[in-house]
Amino acid sequence: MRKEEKSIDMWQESVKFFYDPDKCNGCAICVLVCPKEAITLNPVGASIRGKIKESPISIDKEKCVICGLCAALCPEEAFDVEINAENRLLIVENEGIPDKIEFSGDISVDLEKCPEGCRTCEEVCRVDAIKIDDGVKLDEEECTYCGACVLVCPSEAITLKRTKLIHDKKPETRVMEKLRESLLGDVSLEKIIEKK
Amino acid sequence: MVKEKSTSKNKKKPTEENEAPRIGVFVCDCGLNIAAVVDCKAVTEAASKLDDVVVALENKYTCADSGQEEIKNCIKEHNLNRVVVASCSPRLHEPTFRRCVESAGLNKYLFEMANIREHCSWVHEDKEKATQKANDLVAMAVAKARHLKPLPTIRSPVINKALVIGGGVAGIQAALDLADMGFITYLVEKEPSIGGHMAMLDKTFPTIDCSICILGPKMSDVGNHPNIRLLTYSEIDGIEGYIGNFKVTVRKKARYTTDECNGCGECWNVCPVITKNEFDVGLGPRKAVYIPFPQAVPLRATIDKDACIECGLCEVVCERDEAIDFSQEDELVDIDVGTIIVATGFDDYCVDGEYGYGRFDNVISGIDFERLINASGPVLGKFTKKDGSIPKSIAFIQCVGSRNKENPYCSNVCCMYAMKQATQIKEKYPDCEVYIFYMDIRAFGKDYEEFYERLRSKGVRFIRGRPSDVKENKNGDLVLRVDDTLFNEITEIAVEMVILSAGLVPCEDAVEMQRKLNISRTGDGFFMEAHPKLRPVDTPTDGVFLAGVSQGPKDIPASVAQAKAAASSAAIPLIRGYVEPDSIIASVDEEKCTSCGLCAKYCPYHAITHEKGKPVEIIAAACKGCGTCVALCPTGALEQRGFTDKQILSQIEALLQENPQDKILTFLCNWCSYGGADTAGVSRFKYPENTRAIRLMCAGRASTKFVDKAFELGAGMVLVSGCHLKDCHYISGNYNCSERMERYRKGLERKGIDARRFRLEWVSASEGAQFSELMKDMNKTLNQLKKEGVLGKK
Repeated sequence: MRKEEKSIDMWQESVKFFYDPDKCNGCAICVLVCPKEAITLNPVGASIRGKIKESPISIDKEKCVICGLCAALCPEEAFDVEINAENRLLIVENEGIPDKIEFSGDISVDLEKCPEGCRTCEEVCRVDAIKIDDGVKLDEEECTYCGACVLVCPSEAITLKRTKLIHDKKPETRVMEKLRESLLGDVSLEKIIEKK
Repeated sequence: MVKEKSTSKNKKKPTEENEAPRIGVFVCDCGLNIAAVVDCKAVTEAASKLDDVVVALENKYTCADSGQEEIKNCIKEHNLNRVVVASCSPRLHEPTFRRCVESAGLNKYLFEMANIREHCSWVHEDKEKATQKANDLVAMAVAKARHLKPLPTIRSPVINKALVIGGGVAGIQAALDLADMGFITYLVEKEPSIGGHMAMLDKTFPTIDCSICILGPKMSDVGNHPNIRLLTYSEIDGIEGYIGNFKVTVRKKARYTTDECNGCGECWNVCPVITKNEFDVGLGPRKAVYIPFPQAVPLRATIDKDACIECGLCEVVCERDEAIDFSQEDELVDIDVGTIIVATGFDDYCVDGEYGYGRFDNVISGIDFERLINASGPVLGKFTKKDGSIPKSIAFIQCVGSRNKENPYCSNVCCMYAMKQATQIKEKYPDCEVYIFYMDIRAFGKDYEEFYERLRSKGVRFIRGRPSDVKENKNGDLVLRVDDTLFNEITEIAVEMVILSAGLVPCEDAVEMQRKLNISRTGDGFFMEAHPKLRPVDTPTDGVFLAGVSQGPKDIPASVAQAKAAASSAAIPLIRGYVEPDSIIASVDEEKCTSCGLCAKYCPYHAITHEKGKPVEIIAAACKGCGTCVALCPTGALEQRGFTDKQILSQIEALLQENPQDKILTFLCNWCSYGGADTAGVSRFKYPENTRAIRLMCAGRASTKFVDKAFELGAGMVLVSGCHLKDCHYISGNYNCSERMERYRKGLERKGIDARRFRLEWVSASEGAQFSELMKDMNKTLNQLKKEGVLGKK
């Protein structure tokens, strides 16, 4: 169920920001891209296993300015921005970033480290790119390189590297530069906690 | 820098300093102001018997021409070399009488005043005791006069530039006038554009002319004036110095755009971050890069770093190179000016939670209405209810945040602006029922009463009473419950919209500004003028003037008038090119100085230079005459001219000649406590007659030897009082006093003096009631001590 996280209410206009924890897979791309450092990752493993009912991320509404970068980049479309009750992302409309950004990358799993009976990565993957049956099967066609599996793996068995942003247009804005900076490279929990 | 000119007058009377004192005493009746309570004839007679008094006269009005003529004649006839006037507060007329004696050929510092009005006749009722007190005060003034010395005139040059703080209509007018007179004028405004509150208003009363249409041209005049240096999005960081030579540090906040920006608007079209526009009081949006309103001056975008995500879209669309600069940082700019005008305006009273504001959609404030009805406002002037429908009935509630316990004052403009808004509503929606709930209608300005009458004829209903609250009924209408005080009945009226006529309150940073400028505020929090009638644009700090609502609520014409007055006052020193500040500065006796350097360490103005092994030196131009150094000098090598130890000790002796144990001796600083006692007088807050005040410039001058002397002579109680800590007119004099006196208090018991006999209190110039209460309280203690037998043994 989506929740209103922040609302800027004026006389007859409003900007609202919604987040749906049910859709969220805790990949923390939003944490990395948020320019106001308003999003933080909650303890991941526990929430994924459903042990505590907590959403994977927390949003600080004092810091959030509803720029919509998280909404534009979320692979699960867990965020919405509504301007005067219309779904809109000005950062995309005004060509600050392309409307579709995907990643290319490398993913590998070190079977030695993989604990027996653990299927956390499989549970968290929304595109079924990772399967645990007699060893690990990776589907690199399907993988979006969101990195959610890396963050939930209890034994750091998964290495995932985003190598490139894939998009049709190529706006020369600062924000694109910053996206490359914050998103490309190895996905690691340390990097995300550092953001805090 | 400073010339000590020996005037021809000094030459004429070369022996003034050394010849035996010949004192003239002039006792003023002030009509019945003094004479009704004090027997002035008896005071004159008593004065004539004092040593060295050659002549004592009673006048009806000493400050009037005839009174002054009499003084001048007496100086010549009796060859007087000292003059004492017993009348009102020296804070009011000391300059008048100094000029008077000077014109008779006497050095102007050979004059002393006894305040028998504010400190005596206005606060006491018992005629006999008041007369006794007046006698004491005159004897005290004569005692000091005996030791007065002629002082050289100090002349210091004036930087012929001015600073105006605040770019509302008052600041704009003041800056334009000064600039038109030919002076370089800095105008500092904290917002990105000048214009202030007036720019936010739609129409002005009573003429219903468009506010920005009359202000806009003035704003652009400011922007284009060759003599105006406009610093917007800037704040005052610090102010040092004194009249003629203020050193001001201005913080130019980083706005991340440069002068290259021409306000074309491409950037805010693409900026992806929407936030509330403060200029529209949050009713409409703006982007993270913005100009607050279309007529802004300067027309230059500002990037709100709190909202900006540095996406860089603005850079991409901006056609001017280097117009946007994300690397900018706050910049400190130093400016030197001769005079300063404070026009920092006001805040609208915060109506959150009042009468359902914030809870009910259709309860809005007066300023909300201005933005909603404004053609360039958030709804482009299509004023409606929040749901977009046309209101069929609207009620105004007056005096929200005014004339209550929190803010007892009248905000001056709310009656008129509500009536103006009612007129606009009636023009737009003639069928809309309009009610105005008021306490009293104040339509006192030119053509205001006529405006009120016209509005009544348009069918607006005026109901006298303050609604208790606003509730919502089942239809979603707002129900006002009010005690109609004209018909003496409780009435309920349901309307579709409520407009709260919010009052004006001192702006948030007034406290900080007060401290930076060393000026005072009245009880309501607005800046205090030097005199409520005769110096309405001056402050207690020379060279600092007031304009607009920062001094007190007022409408646009009054603000503009005050701005023009402040501009001409601020121009006087600039035109003259020099000022002659009081000569009451410190001086050093090189023989006595042991070069300990304590004075140099504690001087709030760094006016003392200390080189080890050499006597200290006073920089006359920097010394402001607080006397703090004098009080803390361990060897008595320092003196404050006009407030020497000898002079003050002789005042103490004179005051405690008779029945000392019954008396409460007070040492009051000129700027706050003495002013507080004056305010008690002006407000007629009575207190016991057994109090006697000695005026010092600063509590920092209060030497422990004064208190010692007072107790030695048997004074019942002693008070040392100055400005509240942090509010010291001389930056830190009162801190110094506080430390010294707290230490002194601890030593009292050892000397066998009950510590209850000594008080250290802070009283501001506006705290007349507090001063009166303090005196009553001290008298209570005095009586208690007598009862206990602590006093009266001596």
